Amino acid sequence: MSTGIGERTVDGYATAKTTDQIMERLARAAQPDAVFGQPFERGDTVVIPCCEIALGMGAGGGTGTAQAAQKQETSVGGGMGGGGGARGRPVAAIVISRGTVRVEPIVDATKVAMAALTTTGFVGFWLLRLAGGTQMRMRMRPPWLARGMRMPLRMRPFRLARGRGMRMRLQPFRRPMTTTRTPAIARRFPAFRR
Amino acid sequence: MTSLRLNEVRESPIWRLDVEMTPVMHVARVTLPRGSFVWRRPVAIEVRQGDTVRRVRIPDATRRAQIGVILSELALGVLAASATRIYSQRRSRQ
Repeated sequence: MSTGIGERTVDGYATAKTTDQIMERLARAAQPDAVFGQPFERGDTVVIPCCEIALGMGAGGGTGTAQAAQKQETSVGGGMGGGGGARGRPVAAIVISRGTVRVEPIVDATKVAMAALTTTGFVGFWLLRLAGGTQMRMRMRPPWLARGMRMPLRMRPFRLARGRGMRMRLQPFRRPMTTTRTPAIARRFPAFRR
Repeated sequence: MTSLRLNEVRESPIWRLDVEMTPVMHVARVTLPRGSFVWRRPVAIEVRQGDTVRRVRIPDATRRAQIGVILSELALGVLAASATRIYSQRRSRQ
């Protein structure tokens, strides 16, 4: 449904209402009550959960005019949209028992394992690149390329070369991998020669 | 219009089992022209028992473990790279 500026239709009100509801619900998720949760008692022990809360939201809108090719009148249109997200993570639990207060930290083993795996992969990749540059260069040669043929420039891989100190830089292969024997195609077509 | 606010907020005290506790949290708020971001993290609780007030910190064990794992692995990687380099240099001299 097209709406003019200053004119609010039923659909416009519905959209605004829905957006307000979403924003209100997201804002409620970031209230202090969500950080320090409701205490629950079991016998003479009280436990209060503590969570870290992150909330983000954004909205945007705009209007524009367009003139139809056949008509003289100018039509005006507009639109709006918004989005947001909230995230909570348990951090610790406060335990009150027999007059003493202690904090029990909560460890999310999955997050720690994911961090460890990601870092291991990253470090392992760079170590392999650093240690086995020559072997990787041999392996990166396409199998369909006959020995003695010149590797197309576009397909020549880059390798990591040591710069000054520990600095690394990307360096293209200067010499294509060749053997002493020149294949028949290279003898016939000069483009394939080195 | 764009602003960043960082502050420590004390909430209303909680009474449970003759213990008065005041939750303390860090709040970071980023306000943008068409959006906002809020981050709340529990920092400590202030426990009042009688006349004494004790501050009990709330450690973020998951975050500490993540940072520790990442830093130790990066340090190991740097050490391994240095060792590889020294080894290859010695080998090329021979």
